[in-house]
Amino acid sequence: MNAKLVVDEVSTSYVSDSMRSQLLIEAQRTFEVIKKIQTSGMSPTEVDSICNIGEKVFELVYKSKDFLSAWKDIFLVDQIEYSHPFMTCVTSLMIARKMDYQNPRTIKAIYIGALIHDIGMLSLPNELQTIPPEEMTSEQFALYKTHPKRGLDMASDFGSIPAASLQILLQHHECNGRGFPNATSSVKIYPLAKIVCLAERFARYTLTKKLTPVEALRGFVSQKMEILQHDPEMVKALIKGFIKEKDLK
Amino acid sequence: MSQGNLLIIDDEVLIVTNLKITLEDQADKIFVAYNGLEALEILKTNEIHCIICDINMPKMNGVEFIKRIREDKIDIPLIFYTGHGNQELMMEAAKYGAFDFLDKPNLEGLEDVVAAGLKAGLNKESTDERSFESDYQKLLKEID
Repeated sequence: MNAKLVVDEVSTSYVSDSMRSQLLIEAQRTFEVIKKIQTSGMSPTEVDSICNIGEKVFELVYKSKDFLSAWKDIFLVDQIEYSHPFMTCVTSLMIARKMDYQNPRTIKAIYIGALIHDIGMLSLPNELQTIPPEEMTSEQFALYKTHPKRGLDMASDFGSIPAASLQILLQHHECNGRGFPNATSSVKIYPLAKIVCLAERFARYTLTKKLTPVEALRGFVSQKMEILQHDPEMVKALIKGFIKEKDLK
Repeated sequence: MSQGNLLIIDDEVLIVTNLKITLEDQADKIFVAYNGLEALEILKTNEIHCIICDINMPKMNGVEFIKRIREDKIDIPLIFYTGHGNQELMMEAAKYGAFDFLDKPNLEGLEDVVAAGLKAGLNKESTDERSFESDYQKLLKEID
């Protein structure tokens, strides 16, 4: 496999180079870990790496004042299946922060669940990892819908992955009765899984349209049918994540 | 403003007492049951907005309880707590739509999780029809 993470640092706004570098380092590390899991399977070493990356991303999102100015204009151009987990993780933590999630146990469950939410895809045929879901045949889509359960089965072997993260793996495509694998209705979906579901959809939109996160935000929120599937407070938190703290009314 | 009503289900009297004291300021009323069957009776005659429940209980355990109330179309947010080593039971409970999980014995994050559960239980019906589009557009205007 010749996949490579190529990052285009084009931006016209002032950005803290140090913050941008830190974000890119963690994106690259995520890329390397996912690639390793794809070629050699998951092991305790990869799980430790995932926890380490997640903790670092949490520090950047929650505690770094330059985070937003670096993140909103970042442009990740690569094989989507490698930058998608990283962007899902950052976006999940941005939402969690604006919803006042502070408990370390909860935050850890979010970042682990977000980074490995699509791990089940790695056990599917290669072709399914490059075709967008909307372009799949009915047979391909039926197979694609098994990936949450496959991911759960893969991750369940590791005691260091919290049960809450396993729940995120299982339910990250459940959308108010219209999702899979169980078409679960809203109040029965684990809230942290709802956060990762919204973050995952936003990340996919941003990367497939080759936009920066802030460019993607308006277009994403304007998709009525998409947005109606998500918890309104979580959508508001997503938007608030892009507002500078001093400007938030 | 209403905080909602909470139902605590556990067969251990001491735990129930401690939870009631810890959470007394977070709910309008706190109901108590010592097993799933008692809890079902309470649900028949009282408005409950959030349930906090042990997994291992006699007569009807937490998994049997959530399965039963979901079959009866009762969608109240349900928070489980359990000791180490009950991961399988927790995953089983999650299949029926558990709201969140807490670890015994310290129950770290209890107050935050219960507050979120009560809020979800109170908001469940009131937000179904409302359009949030104008709220989103207002927030988008604040972005540079």
